[in-house]
Amino acid sequence: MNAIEINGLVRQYSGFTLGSLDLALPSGSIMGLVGENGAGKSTTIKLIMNAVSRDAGTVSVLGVSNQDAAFTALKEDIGVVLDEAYFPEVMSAKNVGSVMKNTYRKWNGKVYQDYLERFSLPPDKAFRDYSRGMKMKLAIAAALSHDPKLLILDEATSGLDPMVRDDILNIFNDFTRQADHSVLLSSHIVSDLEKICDYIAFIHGGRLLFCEEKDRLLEEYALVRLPKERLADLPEDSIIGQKCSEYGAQALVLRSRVPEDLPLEHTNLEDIILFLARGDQKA
Amino acid sequence: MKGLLLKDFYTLFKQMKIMLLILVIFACMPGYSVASFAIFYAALLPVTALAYDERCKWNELAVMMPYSSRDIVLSKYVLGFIFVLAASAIAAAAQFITAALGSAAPDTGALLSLLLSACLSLILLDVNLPIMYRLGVEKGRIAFIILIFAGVMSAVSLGDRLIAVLAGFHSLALPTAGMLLFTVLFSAASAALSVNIYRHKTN
Repeated sequence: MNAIEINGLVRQYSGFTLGSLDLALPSGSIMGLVGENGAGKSTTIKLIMNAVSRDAGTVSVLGVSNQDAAFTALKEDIGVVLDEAYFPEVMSAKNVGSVMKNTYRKWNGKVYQDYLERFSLPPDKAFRDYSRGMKMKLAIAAALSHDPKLLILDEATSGLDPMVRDDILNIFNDFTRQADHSVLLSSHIVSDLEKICDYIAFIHGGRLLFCEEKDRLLEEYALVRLPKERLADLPEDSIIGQKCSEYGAQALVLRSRVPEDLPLEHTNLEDIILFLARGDQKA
Repeated sequence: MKGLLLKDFYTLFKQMKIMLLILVIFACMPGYSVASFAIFYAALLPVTALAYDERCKWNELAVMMPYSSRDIVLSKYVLGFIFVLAASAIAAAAQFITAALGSAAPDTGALLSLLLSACLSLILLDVNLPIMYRLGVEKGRIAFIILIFAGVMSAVSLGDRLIAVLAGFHSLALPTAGMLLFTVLFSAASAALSVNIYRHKTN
């Protein structure tokens, strides 16, 4: 079963159209949603949670259409962390716990308390006095403490230091050890996505450029460095993107389309995304 | 909805401790005019809670939780009802205690005035909330002040006729029951309108 299934999703704003979007997050896996600012990542997350209306398409989450009356109750099984924590500034972590206890039927105060200790969050300090990192950690603690089956995280790790980010990524990784647990993680930090994601979805200018298994992407593409004048020797349909400087050229190519004797370098997710996003610089 | 109410209580009690204490003191004042002011003020507290929500963008998070638009909107009405009832109950209790201390019967007129104040303050809340959901708290407050000013001016111009109509009743029981029924129906209509406005706005 797919944890999230999106078909033909379209949302139009004046001057920007998201979609048509087709995407599936298989249960038990982690999908990274990547794209530049304004690409449509947050809108996609809002559409998945039915927080904004759509112009076309369908979305089902954990097997339920997000326009069904049952979807409100299903949100019990979805932990969401947005780009900001959005808790009232005068509330403390203890107050947040009380509010959540009266919001989620499966709220687990012990798990929440453990996360507060693990993240070194003072329970009685007002939310406004937390640093940005602490605020995000509190939001993550709340999202993980009601036994969710799906985590949806919108830039949840931004503003955290590398040590904490690593700790949190491990938590997300552990979370998907249960076969019915899944994560959709939107982030600008491509190295984080490369570290933990099984699938990568890349949104550019409101369009989904690809949604692929990460390992397949890394196998499929390679980097080539060569003198500028030799770029023309490469088969045209093998070049995904290219960068030229006075010292030479660098191209992202499809391994399957280039001559076998061509020296290829392994690429990473960041390069693939940068070359694809700047594909119009090709030629 | 309990979680939403709890969040508003935490926010209001932490931000407005002194104002709430003054409200309780006013509600305990003998007579009904100062106590009525406390009841009217209690009806404005949901708008203050709404302003805090807007400031921290709470609703962006609330729509991700197992709450419907209806829950989110109705929680503000319930909050208003709780505060108005609490202020009215404190004021009524103060009337009874004052009467008991003076070994006299409680002033029925003052108690009816408190009931009327509670109804009017709830109607005020019912007018207020759809405006706030439509325009936001900042612009909504200006629109509300203009509306209230127009309402007061109309009431003043109709004052003599209104008194004449009320004087026609032999007992105040009938107009009081009518007022209660009107308040309930008006609140239901206002809540339905606010939910509709909220759904359209968030989409």
